[in-house]
Amino acid sequence: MSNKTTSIYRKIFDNFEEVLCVVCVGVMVACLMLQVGMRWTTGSGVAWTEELSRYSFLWTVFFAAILVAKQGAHVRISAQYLLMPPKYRLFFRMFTDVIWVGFNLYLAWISWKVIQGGLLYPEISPTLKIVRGYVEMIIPFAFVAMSFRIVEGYFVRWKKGTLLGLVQENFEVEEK
Amino acid sequence: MEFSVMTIVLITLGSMFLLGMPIFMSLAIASIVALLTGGYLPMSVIHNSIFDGLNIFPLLAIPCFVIAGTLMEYGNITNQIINVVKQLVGRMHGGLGITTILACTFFAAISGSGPGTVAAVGTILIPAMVRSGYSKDYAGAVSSSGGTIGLLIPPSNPMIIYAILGNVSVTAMFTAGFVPGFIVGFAMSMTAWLIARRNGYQGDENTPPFNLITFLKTCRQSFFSLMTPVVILGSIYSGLCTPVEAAVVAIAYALVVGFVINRALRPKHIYKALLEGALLSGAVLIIVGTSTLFGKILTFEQAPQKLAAAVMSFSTNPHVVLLLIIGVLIILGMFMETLSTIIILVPVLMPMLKLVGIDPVHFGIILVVTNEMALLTPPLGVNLFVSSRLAKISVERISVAVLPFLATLISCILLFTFVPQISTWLPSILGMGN
Repeated sequence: MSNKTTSIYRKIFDNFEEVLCVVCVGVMVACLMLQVGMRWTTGSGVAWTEELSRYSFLWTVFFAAILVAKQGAHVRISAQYLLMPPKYRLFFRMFTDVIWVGFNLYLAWISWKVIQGGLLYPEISPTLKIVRGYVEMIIPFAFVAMSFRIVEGYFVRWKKGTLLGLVQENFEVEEK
Repeated sequence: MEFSVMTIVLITLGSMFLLGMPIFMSLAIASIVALLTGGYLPMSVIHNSIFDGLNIFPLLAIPCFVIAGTLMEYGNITNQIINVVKQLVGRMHGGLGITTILACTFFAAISGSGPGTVAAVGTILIPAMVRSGYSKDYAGAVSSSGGTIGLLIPPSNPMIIYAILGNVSVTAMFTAGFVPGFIVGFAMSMTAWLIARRNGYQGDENTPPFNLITFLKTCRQSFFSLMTPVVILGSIYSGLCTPVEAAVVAIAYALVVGFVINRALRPKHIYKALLEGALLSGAVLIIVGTSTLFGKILTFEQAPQKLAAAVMSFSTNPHVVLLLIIGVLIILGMFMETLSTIIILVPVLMPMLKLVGIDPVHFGIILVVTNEMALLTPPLGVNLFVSSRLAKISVERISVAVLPFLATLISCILLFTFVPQISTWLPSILGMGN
């Protein structure tokens, strides 16, 4: 039983960003549909749909950014890597990712401080009446989660012994 | 020796790109370094610009158009459009090549993305071409080239981004893209036909001789699929919808046609389509956030003004300036992805355009056409990657086969540069110019 529960947690943990970004983008589309539908049928839109769709879009972007980081599919210039042997590629790739993680955490920390400062005098959004600071929390969260996924990715590859695969897969064939 | 903040920023950005740092993070890192060395802005600007840069309503159109395009592929709409086009031109020399280009042009009016169009049309037509004895090189080259037209024909994601960043009306850009889009489509079809004739590719034998009655019959069967561009574009041009709303109407239409009329959609396709839209947002639109931050730094450093002064000391002739920009764009396009180039360059270039007196709509079209080339030039040419996978040949071979199409594109770019009326005529008679 306990084994089963851990595997469920494991599943949620492994896929939470995918599910959340699909939910957010779904909410966004639903809001927009409601907005267009109401405007055409009753002649006036619903005020809160615009704001909610904008906020769900923001959350979509950041949740999806975590997912894209996990897949290693962020847009980058990688043609120069083809000029060197795989071992050097791996070195540079790891070096770059260390810098990436470092700045991710720094950025998350700064953004956390800004939000905390803002919460002293909370700004309430005009139609949804929610505190804007809570919406903004997605930024520090996403940057921390991205760092986690990058490190996790290395750990998994290291355990499987496929570290070199990171730079050997046809990364010129990148999916958009 | 003392370095100016701007030099440090550019060196940081350049080395991050060279290290292969994701572009959105390279921009953030360069900005953080600038703030730490310059110390003239509070650090809170980092958080605020990333949030505000993405908190822009028109951006929502982009994931929506991606979702709509994916749904239409699953809902059999793409397939039906290809069938209709095939009946028209399938029997000509290289008929399937021309079919590919025309189908891409038509599909472009539904989807906003280049690689998306290649995948949708190429999946069906590349195997068909290879079966009819066309070389794989040709099949791959035609599909990747056809997929570039999608950027010009509205709705188009690069145009939405350009319009937002350059403060131009999205609808004006969409209207302006129409005529150039068809010119590029026609020029590409001619190129496809000429190459096919030289290589002796026959028409498609499986296509029956053109018969008006069967043609009309197919049209009637695929009526709702063929109406898709009319619904999307009509709702924008009639002023009934903003581009964001039109994108949502496109999703709704795709759902209705896919579920009720074609009965090809399944609920799991909705999940896949939503995920597709979300992934594009996470991979590309996040760059808009960090580039807003980077843009703040550039503005503070007065970089656009300095660049403008440097270029204008070289020449103030609008044509020369445009040609310079095109040159830079072609080189950048070899290494960078389309939307990223636009996001990074537009804020820097806009002030200069006003000084030299280049119409922003005209410039937008040139920027988009030049970016079409970026999809076709290695080492980073996304369309080539997609079609190389579909045609199962190497990227190098497609890159060679695609050269005649690149030449066609360059002639189109020059034509649009020297005859601005091609881009500005339609918006101005519709009262959308400035």
